[in-house]
Amino acid sequence: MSPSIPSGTAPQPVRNDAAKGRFTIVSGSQGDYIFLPEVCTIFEAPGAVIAELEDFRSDAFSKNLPGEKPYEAAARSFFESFIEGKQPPPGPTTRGDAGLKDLVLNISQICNLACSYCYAEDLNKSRKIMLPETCRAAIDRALLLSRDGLKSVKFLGGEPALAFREICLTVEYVEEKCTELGFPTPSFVIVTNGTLVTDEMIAFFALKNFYVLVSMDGNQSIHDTLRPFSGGRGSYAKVSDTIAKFQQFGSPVAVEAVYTRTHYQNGVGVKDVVAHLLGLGVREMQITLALGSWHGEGAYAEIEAVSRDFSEVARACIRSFLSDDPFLLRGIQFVIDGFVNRTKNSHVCGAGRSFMAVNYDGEAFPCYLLESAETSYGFIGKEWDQDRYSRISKKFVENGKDYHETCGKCWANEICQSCLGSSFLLEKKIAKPPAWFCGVQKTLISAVLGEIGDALNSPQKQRFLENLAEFLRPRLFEA
Amino acid sequence: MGSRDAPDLSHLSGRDIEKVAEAIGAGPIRALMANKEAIAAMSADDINKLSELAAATRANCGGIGCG
Repeated sequence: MSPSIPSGTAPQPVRNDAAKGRFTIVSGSQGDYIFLPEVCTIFEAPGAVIAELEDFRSDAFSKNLPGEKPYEAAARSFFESFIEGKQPPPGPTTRGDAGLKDLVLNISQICNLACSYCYAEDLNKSRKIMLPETCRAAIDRALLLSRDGLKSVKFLGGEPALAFREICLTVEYVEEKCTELGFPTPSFVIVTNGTLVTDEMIAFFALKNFYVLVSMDGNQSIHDTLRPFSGGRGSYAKVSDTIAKFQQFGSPVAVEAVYTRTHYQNGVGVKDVVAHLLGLGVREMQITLALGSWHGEGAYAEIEAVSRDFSEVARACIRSFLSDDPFLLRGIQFVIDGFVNRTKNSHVCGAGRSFMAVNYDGEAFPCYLLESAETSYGFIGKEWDQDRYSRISKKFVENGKDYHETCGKCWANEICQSCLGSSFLLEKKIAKPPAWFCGVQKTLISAVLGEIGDALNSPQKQRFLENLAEFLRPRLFEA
Repeated sequence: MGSRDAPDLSHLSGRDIEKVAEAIGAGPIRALMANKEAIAAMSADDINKLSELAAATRANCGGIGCG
């Protein structure tokens, strides 16, 4: 790892409550607002107050790196007193021990593409498909580890479309088991590279209310550079045909794009990727920042620029809710949900607690990005070692925000979600994501909250609330 | 403003008192205290209504990682 990029911090041995009275100034395009995370509420304030709190703005990456600001403790003391009696209806609190909710099956560890940034290159050397009995054993194990059934089963790989028969059998088995146990059927999710999807698959995904994510990284030039077939030919034409086919069938499809340093170096911004996808008629997209690909000289300046660009896209997404043609950047959905539900997320993600990934051979891990000898739960079949699972899971429970001093002082503590896996790819330790990951995420959260503040002051407020409601409601695949 | 109008500083001494006095006298804190009544929550009722519609939790793992 480059010395210029700090790694994540290890958890402290004991829990600590977050500091009282945390706050930040968020900015929309029209105005500035105070956000108080403990009541998860945006406040308007006179300009004189905002001007005096200039140091506490969170609208740029550099303002979201750790470090106490002048008068911060005194200002917190003010807000601690200020919110007394202002408690909103309590929202849900995620806990460390809620049971398994989300299962990922790496159902095909064969891939027909040779993406330049693939994290699963070693895994895919196995060139194996998960056997139906392994799929069933994984479902059985996951249901045993859940409290009241699963929220989602996600098919990943390799390229999961290469295991379509196994996917069909697994879906059938999940439906049978959930009926038998009296659990609701989980959502089914697939992330496909879009090069092998047939009409039969599209019809099946629609029938079973799959949430389908097709991978596309931007325009043809950048996509073909990053996502060629194994022989070197670009995959863009095939993928764009697949997206068009979903649209012709009237079948919902979202796109997952990975934004890399190669994009940046080729002058392709996050905004350009989103504009390209919108141009293809895609209205829902996940843009994953491959932050681990930034290191060495110039990394901070580049990350600051990418963070600004990403936040601009997030702002555009919220502003689109004021129009008749909204689009959703999935990476900010946790901010929207958290703001409205007033969710208090105890951990940055579900890895090792509510989330589990299983490889083709039945070996299970806290997440598909958190695979090492140290994090292996072992195999999901008869040889399952529940003590080992509990021991590893405990490490993730004790890596929650209450175990990190930085999180305890952070204004984004309650609402923040992030990714333990992306930093684990850089350094194989269970830790808080590095401060620069948090800086990007907090800039994004701040931008979304600032634009929500603007929208609530806008003449189009009713349209905004209607569109917001549409994106908040559980969709068909989530029902 | 209740007890915060006149904080009990009897447990502090020397430099601590100086720090508190400095903070209270400083722009940010003075502005907050002078404008407390003008700091107003935005659309709380609208947001409360929306929370009844929303999914309790979603099956994803947040921003940077995956959809």
